Amino acid sequence: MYPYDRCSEPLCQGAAFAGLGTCLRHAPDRGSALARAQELLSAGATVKDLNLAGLSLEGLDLSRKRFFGCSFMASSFKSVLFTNTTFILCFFDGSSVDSCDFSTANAQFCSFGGCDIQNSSFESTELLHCNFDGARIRESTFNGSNLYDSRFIRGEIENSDFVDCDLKRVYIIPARQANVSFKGSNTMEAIRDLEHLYL
Amino acid sequence: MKLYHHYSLYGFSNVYLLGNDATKEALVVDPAEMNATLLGYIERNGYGLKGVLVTHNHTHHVRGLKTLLKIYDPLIYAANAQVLGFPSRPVRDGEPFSCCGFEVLPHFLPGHSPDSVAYRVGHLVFTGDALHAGILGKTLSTHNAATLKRRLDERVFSLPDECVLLPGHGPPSTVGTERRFNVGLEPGYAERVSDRYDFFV
Repeated sequence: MYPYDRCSEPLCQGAAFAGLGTCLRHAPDRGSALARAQELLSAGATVKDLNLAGLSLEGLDLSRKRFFGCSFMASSFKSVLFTNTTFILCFFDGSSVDSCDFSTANAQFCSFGGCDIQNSSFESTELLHCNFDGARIRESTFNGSNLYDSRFIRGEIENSDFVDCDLKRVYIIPARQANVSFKGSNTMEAIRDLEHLYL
Repeated sequence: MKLYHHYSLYGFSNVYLLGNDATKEALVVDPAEMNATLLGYIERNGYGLKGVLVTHNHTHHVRGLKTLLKIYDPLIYAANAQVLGFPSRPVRDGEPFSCCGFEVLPHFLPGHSPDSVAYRVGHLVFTGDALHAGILGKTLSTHNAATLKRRLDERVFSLPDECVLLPGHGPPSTVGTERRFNVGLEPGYAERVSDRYDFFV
């Protein structure tokens, strides 16, 4: 699991970035820290236990990588390829995900709480035990995915599709929902109402 | 620090294994079951299982103790002096103890059950059934709901946003996400709780 050390900058509440004593905002050379992080992510097939909170990536191909116990909280991902990528115990809370491709990815026991997700594809993914609470999901697709035991509570879902998804034990209780399709998905097995939870 | 999550189909519960590679010791949180997968995590890493943290004495979270204690000889930590008839070391609210080289800080969070405890290890908080992603633990009265909410405010929601919450059921979360989006923190939540409120386990 990634380490959590406070940024050494006095009064800063942020987490220290991997390999630095400070958060990215207080890094003496933010550019080289980001470049080093990109190298770390690109180099091996497996990335473990890194705290990369505040990361900013654009146009990177991270398909088929395997991430275990990493933090990507409050990060920004734009046009990043996560095709067929594996995430176990990874945290994206408060991140921005724009035009990214997670298709056929496998994410288990991960949190995307409060994320801003737009124009992204989660098609044919395995998103098991994943937390999307408070996430704002726009113009995105989860078609053909297994979302077993995942949660979409108090978020906003707009112009997005969950066609042919496995929604068993999935909590879908968004604060706002507009133009969302669940065609072909087992919505009867999802939890849509806090007054009628099973188990 | 190595963390493994195991999803137990018995009660759809989360079992966690926290390993210390420096001491080669590990602890289990809420052994809903003890099976070959969990055994594999322990043995492949060469860990000695030294501790079991019990967040509350509900069968969905402790049933695996019987099997586990046939294989290993860990100390059981819980709010009560016995779990499933096995002696345990009672923990005290806010009094840290050492286990497997980790400092473990127990926070009593009564409401879901009188013996509910969350354990904080570094930035990880094992919340049991007191707090799940997006919802508070099931309580059967407005009093219990209010008590639980008050204790969570004091002990959990006062932690940094980045602290990771590892519940007894469902996906993980963070303090920041729960503070912003948990439905149980909506005004008037406690007043709406009744015994027909079929919340989670």
